[in-house]
Amino acid sequence: MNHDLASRRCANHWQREAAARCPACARYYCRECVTEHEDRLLCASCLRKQTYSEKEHSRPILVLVRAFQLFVGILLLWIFFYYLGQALLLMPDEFHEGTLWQEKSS
Amino acid sequence: MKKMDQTRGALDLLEEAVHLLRRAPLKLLLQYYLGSFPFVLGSLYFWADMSRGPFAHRHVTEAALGVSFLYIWMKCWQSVFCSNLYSHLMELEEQSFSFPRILRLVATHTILQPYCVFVLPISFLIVLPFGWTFAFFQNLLLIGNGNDLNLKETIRTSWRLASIWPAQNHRLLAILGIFTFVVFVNIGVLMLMVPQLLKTLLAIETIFTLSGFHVLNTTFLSVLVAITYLCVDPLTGAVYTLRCFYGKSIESGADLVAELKGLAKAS
Repeated sequence: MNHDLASRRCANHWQREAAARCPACARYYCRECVTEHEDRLLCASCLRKQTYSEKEHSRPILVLVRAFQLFVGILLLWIFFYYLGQALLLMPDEFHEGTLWQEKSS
Repeated sequence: MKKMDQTRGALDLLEEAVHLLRRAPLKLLLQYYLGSFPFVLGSLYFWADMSRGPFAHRHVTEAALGVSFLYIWMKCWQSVFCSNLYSHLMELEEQSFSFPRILRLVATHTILQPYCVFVLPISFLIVLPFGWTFAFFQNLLLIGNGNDLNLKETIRTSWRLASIWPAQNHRLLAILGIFTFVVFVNIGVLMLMVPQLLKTLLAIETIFTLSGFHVLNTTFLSVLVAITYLCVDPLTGAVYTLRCFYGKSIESGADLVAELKGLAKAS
Protein backbone atom coordinates (compact mmCIF):
# COMPACT_ATOMS: atom_id res chain seq x y z
CA MET A 1 0.00 0.00 0.00
CA ASN A 2 2.83 2.42 0.87
CA HIS A 3 4.64 1.68 -2.40
CA ASP A 4 1.39 2.22 -4.22
CA LEU A 5 0.85 5.58 -2.55
CA ALA A 6 4.43 6.68 -3.20
CA SER A 7 4.06 6.11 -6.91
CA ARG A 8 0.83 8.15 -7.11
CA ARG A 9 0.40 11.83 -7.90
CA CYS A 10 -2.01 14.36 -6.44
CA ALA A 11 -5.29 14.58 -8.39
CA ASN A 12 -5.14 18.40 -8.26
CA HIS A 13 -1.34 18.95 -8.55
CA TRP A 14 0.22 16.46 -10.95
CA GLN A 15 3.74 17.54 -10.02
CA ARG A 16 3.28 16.65 -6.34
CA GLU A 17 3.53 13.20 -4.81
CA ALA A 18 0.35 11.84 -3.22
CA ALA A 19 0.30 11.84 0.58
CA ALA A 20 -3.16 10.44 1.26
CA ARG A 21 -6.13 8.76 -0.33
CA CYS A 22 -9.57 10.21 0.29
CA PRO A 23 -11.74 7.41 1.79
CA ALA A 24 -14.90 8.90 0.26
CA CYS A 25 -13.90 9.27 -3.42
CA ALA A 26 -10.82 6.96 -3.34
CA ARG A 27 -8.65 9.48 -5.23
CA TYR A 28 -5.08 10.39 -4.26
CA TYR A 29 -4.11 13.85 -2.98
CA CYS A 30 -1.09 15.73 -1.65
CA ARG A 31 -0.93 16.96 1.96
CA GLU A 32 -2.31 20.39 1.04
CA CYS A 33 -5.43 19.01 -0.63
CA VAL A 34 -6.76 16.91 2.26
CA THR A 35 -8.27 18.01 5.56
CA GLU A 36 -8.86 16.01 8.72
CA HIS A 37 -12.55 15.70 9.50
CA GLU A 38 -13.85 13.37 12.25
CA ASP A 39 -10.61 11.33 12.27
CA ARG A 40 -10.56 10.96 8.49
CA LEU A 41 -8.53 12.73 5.84
CA LEU A 42 -11.01 13.99 3.24
CA CYS A 43 -10.51 15.96 0.04
CA ALA A 44 -12.12 19.40 -0.32
CA SER A 45 -15.05 18.30 -2.50
CA CYS A 46 -15.98 15.36 -0.27
CA LEU A 47 -15.68 17.56 2.80
CA ARG A 48 -17.97 20.13 1.14
CA LYS A 49 -20.53 17.40 0.40
CA GLN A 50 -20.45 16.24 4.01
CA THR A 51 -20.75 19.69 5.53
CA TYR A 52 -23.53 20.53 3.05
CA SER A 53 -25.52 17.54 4.25
CA GLU A 54 -24.90 18.67 7.82
CA LYS A 55 -26.22 22.15 6.98
CA GLU A 56 -29.37 20.53 5.64
CA HIS A 57 -30.30 19.63 9.20
CA SER A 58 -31.14 23.21 10.02
CA ARG A 59 -33.80 23.44 7.32
CA PRO A 60 -37.22 23.88 8.90
CA ILE A 61 -38.79 21.50 6.40
CA LEU A 62 -36.53 18.76 7.70
CA VAL A 63 -38.09 19.15 11.14
CA LEU A 64 -41.46 18.37 9.60
CA VAL A 65 -40.01 15.43 7.69
CA ARG A 66 -38.44 14.04 10.86
CA ALA A 67 -41.74 14.48 12.76
CA PHE A 68 -43.52 12.57 10.00
CA GLN A 69 -40.86 9.84 10.04
CA LEU A 70 -41.23 9.53 13.82
CA PHE A 71 -44.98 9.18 13.44
CA VAL A 72 -44.56 6.53 10.73
CA GLY A 73 -42.08 4.62 12.91
CA ILE A 74 -44.45 4.51 15.90
CA LEU A 75 -47.38 3.68 13.61
CA LEU A 76 -45.51 0.77 12.03
CA LEU A 77 -44.68 -0.69 15.43
CA TRP A 78 -48.23 -0.20 16.63
CA ILE A 79 -49.60 -1.95 13.52
CA PHE A 80 -47.25 -4.90 14.09
CA PHE A 81 -48.17 -5.37 17.76
CA TYR A 82 -51.85 -4.62 17.18
CA TYR A 83 -52.18 -7.39 14.57
CA LEU A 84 -50.05 -9.71 16.70
CA GLY A 85 -52.56 -9.12 19.51
CA GLN A 86 -55.47 -9.71 17.15
CA ALA A 87 -53.88 -12.95 15.94
CA LEU A 88 -53.45 -14.13 19.53
CA LEU A 89 -57.07 -13.23 20.30
CA LEU A 90 -58.27 -15.26 17.32
CA MET A 91 -56.41 -18.40 18.31
CA PRO A 92 -58.50 -20.94 20.23
CA ASP A 93 -57.90 -21.44 23.96
CA GLU A 94 -56.91 -25.07 23.35
CA PHE A 95 -54.01 -23.84 21.27
CA HIS A 96 -52.76 -21.51 24.04
CA GLU A 97 -53.16 -24.24 26.66
CA GLY A 98 -51.32 -26.74 24.46
CA THR A 99 -54.18 -29.24 24.73
CA LEU A 100 -55.21 -28.94 21.08
CA TRP A 101 -52.76 -31.62 19.95
CA GLN A 102 -53.57 -33.95 22.87
CA GLU A 103 -57.30 -33.91 22.10
CA LYS A 104 -56.67 -34.61 18.44
CA SER A 105 -54.50 -37.61 19.20
CA SER A 106 -56.96 -39.14 21.70
CA MET B 1 -10.08 -7.12 3.15
CA LYS B 2 -9.88 -10.74 2.06
CA LYS B 3 -6.85 -11.26 4.26
CA MET B 4 -8.75 -9.79 7.24
CA ASP B 5 -11.62 -12.19 6.61
CA GLN B 6 -9.30 -15.15 6.61
CA THR B 7 -7.29 -14.13 9.66
CA ARG B 8 -10.26 -13.22 11.87
CA GLY B 9 -12.71 -16.08 11.57
CA ALA B 10 -16.18 -16.24 13.00
CA LEU B 11 -15.08 -18.34 15.99
CA ASP B 12 -12.22 -15.93 16.78
CA LEU B 13 -14.65 -13.04 16.72
CA LEU B 14 -17.10 -14.88 18.98
CA GLU B 15 -14.33 -15.72 21.42
CA GLU B 16 -13.22 -12.11 21.40
CA ALA B 17 -16.82 -10.99 22.00
CA VAL B 18 -17.12 -13.30 25.01
CA HIS B 19 -13.88 -11.87 26.45
CA LEU B 20 -15.08 -8.33 25.72
CA LEU B 21 -18.30 -8.97 27.63
CA ARG B 22 -16.42 -10.54 30.52
CA ARG B 23 -13.96 -7.64 30.73
CA ALA B 24 -16.65 -4.98 30.35
CA PRO B 25 -17.84 -3.25 33.54
CA LEU B 26 -21.02 -4.63 35.09
CA LYS B 27 -22.59 -1.22 34.49
CA LEU B 28 -22.75 -1.92 30.75
CA LEU B 29 -24.74 -5.10 31.21
CA LEU B 30 -27.03 -3.27 33.62
CA GLN B 31 -27.61 -0.66 30.91
CA TYR B 32 -28.48 -3.44 28.48
CA TYR B 33 -30.94 -5.12 30.86
CA LEU B 34 -32.45 -1.79 31.89
CA GLY B 35 -33.69 -1.58 28.33
CA SER B 36 -34.45 -5.21 27.61
CA PHE B 37 -36.18 -6.31 30.84
CA PRO B 38 -39.11 -3.86 30.58
CA PHE B 39 -39.71 -4.84 26.94
CA VAL B 40 -39.48 -8.57 27.67
CA LEU B 41 -41.79 -8.29 30.68
CA GLY B 42 -44.17 -6.02 28.78
CA SER B 43 -44.34 -8.31 25.75
CA LEU B 44 -44.83 -11.39 27.99
CA TYR B 45 -47.70 -9.62 29.75
CA PHE B 46 -49.11 -8.61 26.35
CA TRP B 47 -48.85 -12.22 25.10
CA ALA B 48 -50.45 -13.74 28.21
CA ASP B 49 -53.18 -11.10 28.29
CA MET B 50 -54.05 -11.46 24.60
CA SER B 51 -54.05 -15.24 24.76
CA ARG B 52 -56.14 -15.60 27.96
CA GLY B 53 -57.62 -12.27 29.04
CA PRO B 54 -61.42 -12.33 28.68
CA PHE B 55 -61.56 -8.54 28.09
CA ALA B 56 -58.29 -8.28 26.15
CA HIS B 57 -60.05 -7.28 22.93
CA ARG B 58 -61.14 -4.04 24.65
CA HIS B 59 -57.62 -2.75 25.28
CA VAL B 60 -55.55 -4.32 22.47
CA THR B 61 -55.02 -0.86 20.88
CA GLU B 62 -53.52 0.69 24.03
CA ALA B 63 -51.56 -2.46 24.89
CA ALA B 64 -50.00 -2.55 21.39
CA LEU B 65 -48.97 1.11 21.75
CA GLY B 66 -47.42 0.38 25.16
CA VAL B 67 -45.36 -2.52 23.79
CA SER B 68 -44.30 -0.33 20.84
CA PHE B 69 -42.89 2.30 23.20
CA LEU B 70 -41.15 -0.41 25.25
CA TYR B 71 -39.57 -1.70 22.03
CA ILE B 72 -38.14 1.76 21.25
CA TRP B 73 -36.98 2.04 24.88
CA MET B 74 -35.14 -1.29 24.52
CA LYS B 75 -33.48 -0.34 21.23
CA CYS B 76 -32.26 2.97 22.68
CA TRP B 77 -30.66 1.26 25.68
CA GLN B 78 -29.15 -1.41 23.44
CA SER B 79 -27.62 1.43 21.42
CA VAL B 80 -26.16 2.95 24.62
CA PHE B 81 -24.80 -0.50 25.54
CA CYS B 82 -23.14 -0.97 22.12
CA SER B 83 -21.68 2.58 22.14
CA ASN B 84 -20.16 2.11 25.59
CA LEU B 85 -18.87 -1.34 24.62
CA TYR B 86 -17.19 0.29 21.62
CA SER B 87 -15.61 2.93 23.88
CA HIS B 88 -14.42 0.17 26.20
CA LEU B 89 -12.90 -1.60 23.21
CA MET B 90 -11.13 1.61 22.16
CA GLU B 91 -9.89 2.10 25.75
CA LEU B 92 -11.77 5.40 25.84
CA GLU B 93 -13.84 6.91 28.64
CA GLU B 94 -17.50 6.00 28.88
CA GLN B 95 -19.59 8.07 26.47
CA SER B 96 -21.64 10.93 27.83
CA PHE B 97 -25.21 11.32 26.67
CA SER B 98 -26.34 14.94 26.75
CA PHE B 99 -30.03 15.80 26.36
CA PRO B 100 -29.75 16.75 22.64
CA ARG B 101 -27.83 13.52 21.99
CA ILE B 102 -30.50 11.46 23.77
CA LEU B 103 -33.14 13.13 21.61
CA ARG B 104 -31.18 12.32 18.45
CA LEU B 105 -30.67 8.72 19.60
CA VAL B 106 -34.37 8.25 20.37
CA ALA B 107 -35.33 9.83 17.03
CA THR B 108 -32.92 7.62 15.07
CA HIS B 109 -34.21 4.40 16.61
CA THR B 110 -37.86 5.46 16.48
CA ILE B 111 -37.50 6.15 12.76
CA LEU B 112 -35.32 3.21 11.71
CA GLN B 113 -35.82 0.28 14.09
CA PRO B 114 -39.57 -0.30 13.46
CA TYR B 115 -38.69 -1.57 9.98
CA CYS B 116 -36.75 -4.37 11.67
CA VAL B 117 -39.94 -6.16 12.83
CA PHE B 118 -41.18 -6.36 9.22
CA VAL B 119 -37.97 -6.68 7.22
CA LEU B 120 -36.26 -9.36 9.35
CA PRO B 121 -39.09 -11.95 9.20
CA ILE B 122 -39.52 -11.37 5.44
CA SER B 123 -35.78 -11.68 4.79
CA PHE B 124 -35.74 -14.80 6.97
CA LEU B 125 -38.43 -16.34 4.78
CA ILE B 126 -36.53 -15.42 1.61
CA VAL B 127 -33.37 -16.80 3.36
CA LEU B 128 -30.73 -15.19 1.13
CA PRO B 129 -30.76 -11.54 2.34
CA PHE B 130 -31.18 -12.45 6.02
CA GLY B 131 -27.47 -12.24 6.91
CA TRP B 132 -27.12 -8.73 5.53
CA THR B 133 -30.37 -7.39 6.99
CA PHE B 134 -29.65 -8.87 10.42
CA ALA B 135 -26.16 -7.34 10.43
CA PHE B 136 -27.60 -4.03 9.20
CA PHE B 137 -30.07 -3.71 12.07
CA GLN B 138 -27.41 -4.79 14.59
CA ASN B 139 -25.00 -2.18 13.18
CA LEU B 140 -27.68 0.50 13.48
CA LEU B 141 -27.46 0.10 17.26
CA LEU B 142 -23.85 1.25 17.22
CA ILE B 143 -23.86 3.66 14.28
CA GLY B 144 -27.12 5.38 15.26
CA ASN B 145 -25.79 6.34 18.69
CA GLY B 146 -27.08 9.91 18.56
CA ASN B 147 -23.85 11.64 17.55
CA ASP B 148 -25.83 13.20 14.70
CA LEU B 149 -29.23 12.82 13.08
CA ASN B 150 -27.92 12.24 9.58
CA LEU B 151 -30.11 9.25 8.79
CA LYS B 152 -28.77 8.80 5.25
CA GLU B 153 -25.21 8.55 6.53
CA THR B 154 -26.28 6.24 9.39
CA ILE B 155 -28.03 3.89 6.94
CA ARG B 156 -25.15 4.06 4.46
CA THR B 157 -22.49 3.31 7.11
CA SER B 158 -24.55 0.51 8.70
CA TRP B 159 -25.13 -1.10 5.31
CA ARG B 160 -21.48 -0.74 4.30
CA LEU B 161 -20.37 -2.41 7.53
CA ALA B 162 -23.04 -5.11 7.11
CA SER B 163 -21.79 -5.87 3.60
CA ILE B 164 -18.14 -6.46 4.47
CA TRP B 165 -16.91 -10.01 5.12
CA PRO B 166 -20.17 -11.79 4.18
CA ALA B 167 -18.71 -15.27 4.71
CA GLN B 168 -17.70 -14.37 8.26
CA ASN B 169 -21.14 -12.86 8.89
CA HIS B 170 -22.97 -15.99 7.72
CA ARG B 171 -20.70 -18.29 9.71
CA LEU B 172 -21.35 -16.11 12.75
CA LEU B 173 -25.10 -16.36 12.23
CA ALA B 174 -24.91 -20.13 11.87
CA ILE B 175 -22.89 -20.49 15.08
CA LEU B 176 -25.10 -18.01 16.95
CA GLY B 177 -28.19 -19.88 15.68
CA ILE B 178 -26.91 -23.21 16.98
CA PHE B 179 -25.83 -21.58 20.25
CA THR B 180 -29.28 -19.99 20.67
CA PHE B 181 -30.96 -23.35 20.09
CA VAL B 182 -28.71 -25.03 22.67
CA VAL B 183 -29.45 -22.28 25.22
CA PHE B 184 -33.18 -22.59 24.43
CA VAL B 185 -33.14 -26.37 25.03
CA ASN B 186 -31.05 -26.00 28.19
CA ILE B 187 -33.38 -23.42 29.72
CA GLY B 188 -36.38 -25.54 28.71
CA VAL B 189 -34.93 -28.63 30.36
CA LEU B 190 -34.06 -26.59 33.46
CA MET B 191 -37.57 -25.15 33.69
CA LEU B 192 -39.09 -28.63 33.37
CA MET B 193 -36.63 -30.48 35.59
CA VAL B 194 -36.31 -28.14 38.58
CA PRO B 195 -39.99 -28.39 39.67
CA GLN B 196 -39.88 -32.17 39.21
CA LEU B 197 -36.67 -32.42 41.24
CA LEU B 198 -38.16 -30.20 43.98
CA LYS B 199 -41.16 -32.50 44.11
CA THR B 200 -39.14 -35.72 44.09
CA LEU B 201 -36.38 -34.72 46.49
CA LEU B 202 -38.07 -32.22 48.81
CA ALA B 203 -41.78 -32.95 48.24
CA ILE B 204 -42.42 -29.32 47.29
CA GLU B 205 -45.36 -28.88 44.94
CA THR B 206 -45.15 -25.98 42.49
CA ILE B 207 -47.53 -24.60 39.88
CA PHE B 208 -45.57 -26.55 37.27
CA THR B 209 -46.03 -29.95 38.94
CA LEU B 210 -49.70 -29.26 39.68
CA SER B 211 -50.54 -28.11 36.15
CA GLY B 212 -49.37 -31.33 34.48
CA PHE B 213 -48.13 -31.33 30.88
CA HIS B 214 -47.43 -27.73 29.85
CA VAL B 215 -44.61 -27.89 27.29
CA LEU B 216 -46.97 -26.88 24.45
CA ASN B 217 -48.51 -24.06 26.49
CA THR B 218 -47.80 -20.84 24.54
CA THR B 219 -47.01 -18.82 27.69
CA PHE B 220 -44.39 -21.40 28.72
CA LEU B 221 -42.87 -21.26 25.23
CA SER B 222 -42.89 -17.46 25.13
CA VAL B 223 -41.18 -17.28 28.56
CA LEU B 224 -38.59 -19.72 27.23
CA VAL B 225 -37.98 -17.58 24.14
CA ALA B 226 -37.76 -14.42 26.28
CA ILE B 227 -35.16 -15.88 28.68
CA THR B 228 -33.14 -17.24 25.75
CA TYR B 229 -33.22 -13.79 24.12
CA LEU B 230 -32.01 -12.13 27.33
CA CYS B 231 -29.14 -14.63 27.59
CA VAL B 232 -27.97 -14.58 23.97
CA ASP B 233 -28.63 -11.05 22.75
CA PRO B 234 -25.83 -9.25 24.70
CA LEU B 235 -23.38 -11.62 23.01
CA THR B 236 -24.89 -10.87 19.60
CA GLY B 237 -24.58 -7.15 20.32
CA ALA B 238 -20.93 -7.57 21.35
CA VAL B 239 -20.13 -9.63 18.22
CA TYR B 240 -21.57 -7.02 15.88
CA THR B 241 -19.91 -4.18 17.81
CA LEU B 242 -16.61 -5.96 17.19
CA ARG B 243 -17.43 -6.42 13.51
CA CYS B 244 -18.15 -2.68 13.23
CA PHE B 245 -14.92 -1.92 15.10
CA TYR B 246 -12.82 -3.97 12.66
CA GLY B 247 -14.81 -2.70 9.69
CA LYS B 248 -14.24 0.92 10.69
CA SER B 249 -10.59 0.20 11.46
CA ILE B 250 -9.88 -0.42 7.76
CA GLU B 251 -10.26 3.33 7.24
CA SER B 252 -9.35 4.78 10.63
CA GLY B 253 -6.77 2.32 11.97
CA ALA B 254 -8.68 2.32 15.28
CA ASP B 255 -7.65 -1.29 16.01
CA LEU B 256 -3.97 -0.28 15.93
CA VAL B 257 -4.63 2.68 18.23
CA ALA B 258 -6.49 0.41 20.69
CA GLU B 259 -3.67 -2.15 20.53
CA LEU B 260 -1.04 0.54 21.18
CA LYS B 261 -3.05 1.86 24.12
CA GLY B 262 -3.28 -1.66 25.50
CA LEU B 263 0.51 -2.10 25.14
CA ALA B 264 1.16 1.27 26.81
CA LYS B 265 -1.09 0.27 29.70
CA ALA B 266 0.67 -3.08 30.11
CA SER B 267 4.18 -1.55 30.14
